[in-house]
Amino acid sequence: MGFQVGGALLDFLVLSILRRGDAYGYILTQEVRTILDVSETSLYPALRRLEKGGLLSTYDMPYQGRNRRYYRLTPQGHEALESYIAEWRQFKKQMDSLLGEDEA
Amino acid sequence: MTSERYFSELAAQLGRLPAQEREEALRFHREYAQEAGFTTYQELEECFGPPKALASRLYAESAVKASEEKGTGKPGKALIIGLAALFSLPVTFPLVLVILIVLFVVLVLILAVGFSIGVTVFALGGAFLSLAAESWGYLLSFAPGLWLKFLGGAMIVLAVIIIIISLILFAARHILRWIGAGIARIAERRTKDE
Repeated sequence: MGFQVGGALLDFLVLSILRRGDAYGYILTQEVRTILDVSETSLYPALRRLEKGGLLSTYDMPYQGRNRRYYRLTPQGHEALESYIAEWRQFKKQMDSLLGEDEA
Repeated sequence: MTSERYFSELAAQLGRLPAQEREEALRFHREYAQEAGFTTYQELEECFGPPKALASRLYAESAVKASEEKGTGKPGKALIIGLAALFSLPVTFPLVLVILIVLFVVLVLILAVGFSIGVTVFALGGAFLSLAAESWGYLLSFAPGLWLKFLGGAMIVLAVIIIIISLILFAARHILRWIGAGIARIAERRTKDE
């Protein structure tokens, strides 16, 4: 269900989820998939891209005798998220006014 | 069949990725499978697709990234990973034939251009050597004016050779990266279509 997209919107969503707290790959994928219609294989490339771009960092936490790799926003990631949020507000405003006019 | 079988097949498919990228990809998907509670080959295949399909996605993604790396890395890397991505796709025979023909034509073109450049550089090298030898002769016969004149000529020819070679190297780097990026995009588009 939902909008089928990748790229910037997927990055935006991942950053937004991580703003509320660090998360590991599986749980992050599940959260993304409740909102965006992406396949289970599209999160890994996105996470790698964000990590390579310096927006995310990773660390390992032991869990039941193995490691979970957690993703965390870097200061750069926070900055990128702020600009995404500003763009999103602008987009939403324009979209709302467009739809409002259509209804009138 | 067990999940280990899936991951060993995936690892085998990813043989041409840089070792670190391969390890990270395997690690991520192993962890994902454990969290999701997948223990059989079938469960993994339902989630990620067959190992070969997952490998093509990972190759395509890696090739796009390699082609986007500016200045750093080897220019041939994008090309090699792009080709690996393309050939890891389940393609029909006619498409493979077309790709092979195109690659053959490109190879012949590169060889032809390389040969003509080689001949040019060789001829200029000959001119440089004969000018240098002649200037040396004038130096021995105490004719400083003629010596300088021919030495200057030799230096100009040498400069032209150096300029040609550096231009060729510069162009080759970009062309290789460009071809690699193109192939990677094709591969990526095809993996998304499926």
